[in-house]
Amino acid sequence: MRDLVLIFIEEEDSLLDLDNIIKLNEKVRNCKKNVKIVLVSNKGKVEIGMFISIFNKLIGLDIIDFTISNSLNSIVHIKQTQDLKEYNIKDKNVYDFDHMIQLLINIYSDYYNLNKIYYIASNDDLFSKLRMKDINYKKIDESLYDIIFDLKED
Amino acid sequence: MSAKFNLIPIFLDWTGTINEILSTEKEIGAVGLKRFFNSIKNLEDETNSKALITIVSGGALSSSKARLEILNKLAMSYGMPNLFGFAVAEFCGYLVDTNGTISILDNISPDLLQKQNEIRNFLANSPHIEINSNVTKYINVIFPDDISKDVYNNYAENIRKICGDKFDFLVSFDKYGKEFDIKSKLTTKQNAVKFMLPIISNKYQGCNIPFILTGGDTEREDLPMALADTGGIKVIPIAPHNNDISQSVIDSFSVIVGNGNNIEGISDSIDIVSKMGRCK
Repeated sequence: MRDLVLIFIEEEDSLLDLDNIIKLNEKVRNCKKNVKIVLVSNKGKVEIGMFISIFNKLIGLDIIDFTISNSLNSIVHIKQTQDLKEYNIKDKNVYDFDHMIQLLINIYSDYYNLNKIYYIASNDDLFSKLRMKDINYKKIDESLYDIIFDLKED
Repeated sequence: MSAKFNLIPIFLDWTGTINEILSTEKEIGAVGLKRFFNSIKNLEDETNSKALITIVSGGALSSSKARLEILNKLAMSYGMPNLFGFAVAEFCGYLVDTNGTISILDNISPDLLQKQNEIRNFLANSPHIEINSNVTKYINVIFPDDISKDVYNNYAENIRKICGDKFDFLVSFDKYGKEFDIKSKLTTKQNAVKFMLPIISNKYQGCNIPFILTGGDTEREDLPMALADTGGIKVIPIAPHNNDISQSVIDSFSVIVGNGNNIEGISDSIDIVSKMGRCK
């Protein structure tokens, strides 16, 4: 089972930098671990679906599978019709934030050895919820790209 | 902006096929988009002009708005904060600007609304086949992914009978989706260009428009943008080297075709225009 670095990120717009996307592609391809990003966003389903679609194409990798909508209490998968059924995720207001995080961790744990979980947030509110869980996480204050540039050393 | 300056409006198809448009055979999308932005910068330098992109899409307003927002942010982070100006959704139905302000450019005709009701009645007993409620300026009938071509053709035949010949009937059965579009013959990207030019001239008062670029990869909707009534301003149609465009259409529209597919080809066609230095 391959190692996975799972990154939850709240400010998805900070990812929209072409030079950094190109560097991220190189780092992820050269890294011995898989890297997946989960967006935690308040954007609507159309907006976030468009974001994921464009970002994955820009980076040339299926690096984002899921987004968690904190305001809607929903999880959206980019390939919704099939995979939501597969994961038994209902795109309804049935999960609170803790459950959504845990559910995604469970999903990824079925496929990967979760090596490290990062959570990138501008405030401590959501991070404090993660703290209550017994998971291997790390919060950093820098940008996603700073994490990625350390991947080889991880 | 009040001083006289050259402005090149660029009307680009950037539809639901964006994943394909951003992809090239050789590179990841970020490299392709960077090359596209550089080709625009080069065009601006070579022609002493500013470029202004209007995304022209047949897609729904919500997705067009989201697409504009993301592309605008990418351009801003690349040092081109004024490159994207607008998106036109539903061919020529809605206009949205980079502030998120939405305007109506054109309305659905009453007789098409009547047909919509007839189609809705016809589809009432057809599970999973429905009229897309996100589209309001034309009729967009959407199908589940697993529908067979035979079943699709059967629906096409029946709905075509309901609509008659008065409307455009566009069929799509490909990797991007399975759907019908039924629209007024005036609901076109060509009219989007016509409607947008006065809006652009009004917003950028004092600008001189030396020429207009129109680009896309389909014969049916994109290339006819070059035929828009522009009040005498020259239009240069550009296209990638995709297989969807026949040589006869390229010749008749005098399309500048760039090497490469999708964004690579569009960027190359812009480079060709730059070398022509048409408004130096």
